[in-house]
Amino acid sequence: MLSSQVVIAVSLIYVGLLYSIAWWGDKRARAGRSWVRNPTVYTLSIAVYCTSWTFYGAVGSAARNGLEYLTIYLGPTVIFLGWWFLLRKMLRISKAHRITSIADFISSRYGKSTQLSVLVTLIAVIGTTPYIALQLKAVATSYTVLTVWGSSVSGPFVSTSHIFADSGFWAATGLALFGILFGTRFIDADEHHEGMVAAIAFESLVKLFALLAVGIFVCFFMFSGLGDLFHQASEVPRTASLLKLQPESGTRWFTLMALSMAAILTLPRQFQVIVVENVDERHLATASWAFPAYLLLMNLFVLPIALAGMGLLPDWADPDFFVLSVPLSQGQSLLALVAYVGGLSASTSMVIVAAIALSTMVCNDLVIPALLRLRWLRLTERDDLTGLLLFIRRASIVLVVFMGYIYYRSAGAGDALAEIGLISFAATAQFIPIMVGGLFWKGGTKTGALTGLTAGFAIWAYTLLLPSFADSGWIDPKLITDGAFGHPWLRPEALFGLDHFAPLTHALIWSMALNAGCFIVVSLFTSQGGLERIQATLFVDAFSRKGGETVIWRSSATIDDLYELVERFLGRERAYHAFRDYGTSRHTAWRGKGEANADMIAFSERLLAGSIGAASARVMVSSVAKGEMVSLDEVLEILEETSHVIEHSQRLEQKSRELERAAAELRAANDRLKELDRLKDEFLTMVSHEFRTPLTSIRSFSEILVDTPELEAERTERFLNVIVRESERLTRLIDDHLDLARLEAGHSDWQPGNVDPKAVLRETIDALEGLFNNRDARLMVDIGGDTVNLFVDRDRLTQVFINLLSNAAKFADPDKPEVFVRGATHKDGYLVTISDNGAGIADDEADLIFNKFARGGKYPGDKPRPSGSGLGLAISKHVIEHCHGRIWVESKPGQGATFHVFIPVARSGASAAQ
Amino acid sequence: MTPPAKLTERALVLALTAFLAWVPPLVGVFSLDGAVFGLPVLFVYFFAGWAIFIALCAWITRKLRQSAQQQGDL
Repeated sequence: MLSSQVVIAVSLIYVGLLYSIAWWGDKRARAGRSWVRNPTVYTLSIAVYCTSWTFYGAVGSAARNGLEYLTIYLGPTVIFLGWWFLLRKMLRISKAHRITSIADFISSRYGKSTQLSVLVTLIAVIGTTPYIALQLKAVATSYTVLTVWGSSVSGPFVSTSHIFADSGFWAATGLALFGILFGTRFIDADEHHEGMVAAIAFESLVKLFALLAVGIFVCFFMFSGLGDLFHQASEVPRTASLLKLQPESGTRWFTLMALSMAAILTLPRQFQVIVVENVDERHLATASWAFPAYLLLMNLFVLPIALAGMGLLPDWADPDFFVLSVPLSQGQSLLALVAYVGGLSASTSMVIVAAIALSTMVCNDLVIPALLRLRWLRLTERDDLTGLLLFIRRASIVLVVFMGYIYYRSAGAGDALAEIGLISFAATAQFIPIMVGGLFWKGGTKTGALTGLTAGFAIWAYTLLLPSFADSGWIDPKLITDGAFGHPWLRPEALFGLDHFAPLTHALIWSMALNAGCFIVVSLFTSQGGLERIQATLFVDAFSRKGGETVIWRSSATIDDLYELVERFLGRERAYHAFRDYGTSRHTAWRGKGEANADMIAFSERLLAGSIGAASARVMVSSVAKGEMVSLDEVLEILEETSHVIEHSQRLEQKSRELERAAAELRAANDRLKELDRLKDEFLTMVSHEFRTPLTSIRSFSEILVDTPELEAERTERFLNVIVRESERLTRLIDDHLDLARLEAGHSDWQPGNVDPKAVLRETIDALEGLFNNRDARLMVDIGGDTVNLFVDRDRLTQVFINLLSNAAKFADPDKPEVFVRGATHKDGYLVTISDNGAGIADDEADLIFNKFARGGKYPGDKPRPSGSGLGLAISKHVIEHCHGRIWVESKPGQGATFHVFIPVARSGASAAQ
Repeated sequence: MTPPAKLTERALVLALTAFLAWVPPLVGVFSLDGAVFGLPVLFVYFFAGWAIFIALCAWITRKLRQSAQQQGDL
């Protein structure tokens, strides 16, 4: 037990320290030497997510439901792991549009709608109230636990004491004061509160340190390590059950995960620190893993503390405050005080940021639009409105904090911390369909968003808020048990008879289904206004448009009008700086009676949006810019035209790529043509050469015969024999050539039939026996295998075999010629292999020799190459390919050549005949 | 260098995997008696898994930033 004086003194010193840090942070920021603008501080400021609900409530929740408390931190971890898809887009859009709050964000998406921003603000304020109450309750209870430990704190803590004796009241007052001092010192054009961020980051360090300190004390000083603690806990049935999944927690687990994922995006204070206070998108990249790491550390000792508390403390001790009572029970007053300061920092940071975020919304989206409607106030004609704005914000902060206090005093005292927090989560989760839907679906309309949000919120209020009021006796509990007007199907916790679920899950199922359902269906049946369509496009295509500013004003205001308007809301100095900078950067006039161009009007609207929200800024600027706005349809046309241009250029790009590809193909075709041309020339040269040799021979012998009639008969006969032989050779050449030409042109007559290749091969070998005998060639034949029928032209096949065999005989080693013929039946065709032991063929000629007139280039030893037309292999190739077969050669120079012919069994007679 | 499209796909799969790993029914699979390193199985499953996801996220994020910087997108 600590004396209340000590606790109060420590609290005051701590809050004083916070003030100094915030003041110092602001001072550095104003001097342009901010140390707040770095990823670590940004990450720590996001850790405002861990409030006293975490600091105290997580332990309580772990003591009741085991590891289920983790869901509240695993959800945000999932969102941050996927930062690239959702958070980055929100950030990019908010920077481009100078978004200052979540209400601003949502209303901007749906055409800067005032109705929507009002509705979002109301929901945010109502939804956050229980959450603020939770923090005040935590401060008050922790104070009580610390000061009266040992006397009973078993009963629910209801502050029946006089309001000025209530520590919650003083906490609320102090926090409101802090919020006023650092949230509204001036109206900033982009709503950055660097001093506040510095203080929040510091508080995040304090609460982490405090919780770790308690955790380490419990695990390593009270027990000999985590293992020991868990071992002891597993031996007591009550605590052992907490180490495993609770049997009935399936749907609740899922619900809590979904809720916490939504909460990190939609809680106004999270939106404030993640999106609005962000100064550099790169900080988000660091936070993507650093914030989950913070959450992990924060939660590491929660379950151990809970288990230790359950094992050691009497039953009446409130598990929500084990963080304090466990050290106290061990006589560690100092550690308990450290823990108390940690809890205080967790509570205060939440209340401060929430109050500032909500006051921005209340001022920009609730009060200013209302005041603008009251024409008798002549707001648009007042000189300086900065004072009024500041007053509204300060009043809003007080209002927000004390709404929380009232809820705490009257309704929130009985529940566990976590349950109060979840009511808040469920309220702000209603923003998810229109927020996430609006980021990725252009079709969502304002009417759809309004309907969905209203339906979802109504269900939330009926199924969650009403029962909590009934619990605290504000309304008749009969409503809960019997249903509205006595209709059982209207029971708030079992709507339409759906009574299998816990109240929270039940509320979420109905509200989300109705919310998203109405949003989608109504959107599909309503149409968007012009501005809505523009904003939808800008939001959804945030990454594909660079610098996507739309200028939608047609000039008709003077520059001075605009200047004065901005001056009224931003103050003399800030307006001066903003306009001067704008003028210098665009090289344009920024004071005077001249007409402002559209860009300047848009600039002014953005400036105003930064301090009074998009919807109000729009109204204010239109009050000055007297002329017509460019008709929205016109703007839309421009936008659509831009899309067309982008699309068009993309198509052009694609076309040029196609052209390039076509050009490459053409080049390749051209190269091939050139090669063919060269081959043709070569062919002609060869043909001429081949024809000339016998012709020359014939001519020269004829001339000799003509010139020398006195030649003896024997020589005459020899010469005539040569002439006949050469003529025959010439005829054979011409025949072969004609044959090949017919084959190539496809004019050849084919007479296919069922042929046994073995028989053909045997007959051919017999016919060529004389040839082999002449050369003393050794012929080895091995024609094995089963009989197979091929559907080919028998004569042509014989031609091929004759050609290959005579070639082999010709090219075999002249000294000791050997030829080896093999035939083998394969399962799908017949393979003939004919080898010789001659000089062989070089690798690079293996394919060439099947060309017309090509021959093995080098014949060894300068021996005269065997004569031949040079067309035999070309004809053979044509024939074999005509039968869908294959002919190829394998050879190593000096080791002979092996020709292979493979003819497949035709699938059907017809295909072979073709 | 890994193409950006592949990196973003990895980032998406990481987040989806984390979600699936942390909701029933998968959570129930690890709700076992006994101990790993002297600690309850479920406790180790959550905290070790959490640390691994954080490390993977840091790694993918670094790559994403590098590729985004090259395109001048971040």
